Amino acid sequence: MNLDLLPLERLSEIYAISNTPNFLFRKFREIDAVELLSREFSASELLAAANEIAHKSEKNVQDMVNLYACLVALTFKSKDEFRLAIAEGGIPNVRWAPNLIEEGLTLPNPFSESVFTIASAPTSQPIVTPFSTNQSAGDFRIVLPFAHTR
Amino acid sequence: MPGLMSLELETANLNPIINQQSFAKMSPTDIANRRESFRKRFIGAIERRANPTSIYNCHGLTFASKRTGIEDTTQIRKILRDDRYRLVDNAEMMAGDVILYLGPKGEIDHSGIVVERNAVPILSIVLSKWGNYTEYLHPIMQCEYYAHENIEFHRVDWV
Repeated sequence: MNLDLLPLERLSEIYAISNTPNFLFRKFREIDAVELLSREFSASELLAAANEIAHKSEKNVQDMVNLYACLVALTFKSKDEFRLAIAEGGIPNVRWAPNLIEEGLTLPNPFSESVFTIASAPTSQPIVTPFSTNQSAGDFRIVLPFAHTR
Repeated sequence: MPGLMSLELETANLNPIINQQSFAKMSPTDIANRRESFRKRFIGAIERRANPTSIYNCHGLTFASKRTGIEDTTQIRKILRDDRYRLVDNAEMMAGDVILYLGPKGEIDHSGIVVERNAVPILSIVLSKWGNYTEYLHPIMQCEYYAHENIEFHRVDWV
């Protein structure tokens, strides 16, 4: 996984001065490149990258920044995808990984999904139904022959 | 978790305080980079002559004599309650008071100790530890943790 697009200097600053995992989590989420990471890679890819770094015997600041960026990127995924990846890949064995994952799970889903199905294209002319015999233009109702479900 | 230790630490009411020492180290290059970027970004912030360490964090400096790190807001709230801290307003604030920098949901992002009061309160000088970097003497507003009106002052006040 290519993590070169991450703004290493800024992320390293945040990493260095974070007193709490919650602060690091919030600040990392403000970085556009971290969100972009979540669009570029699947949840399982992000977690695999984090775990791969976690398994290194010697980790420098860049490693830790990349690892935490992957975990925070994971929190932009839907909860289902996020949970599934964790269940399959496990939590990386580094200090703030459990905290970041917990923070992510407290967030609302990043987007809600609604499915609209249009059953068919209109096949007949709109029906114009008058309410009474002495009506004005504002009294008319137009009914389009769409069949739609939510 | 490898490289972590905790101390037996208690509040004045003998309630345990969850804490962790960390032994992560920064490379000389990382230290130099941070020093340079903070020097440019936070005018008036003076790095104290101490090596960066992750043994203690800001809350460890403020509430645990620089022996360990405390990361959880609930632990800090417990200390404030058990150790009889009371909220102090800006006009009353003085050297020796604790300053808290709060996050959007009331999380305690950062803490320090006021060492010099200024007539303009946000220009008062604070001693604090910045994460696993080092200690700074800095005007209240000259740090990453400051946002408009997100600070509180507290003072131990036994009755």
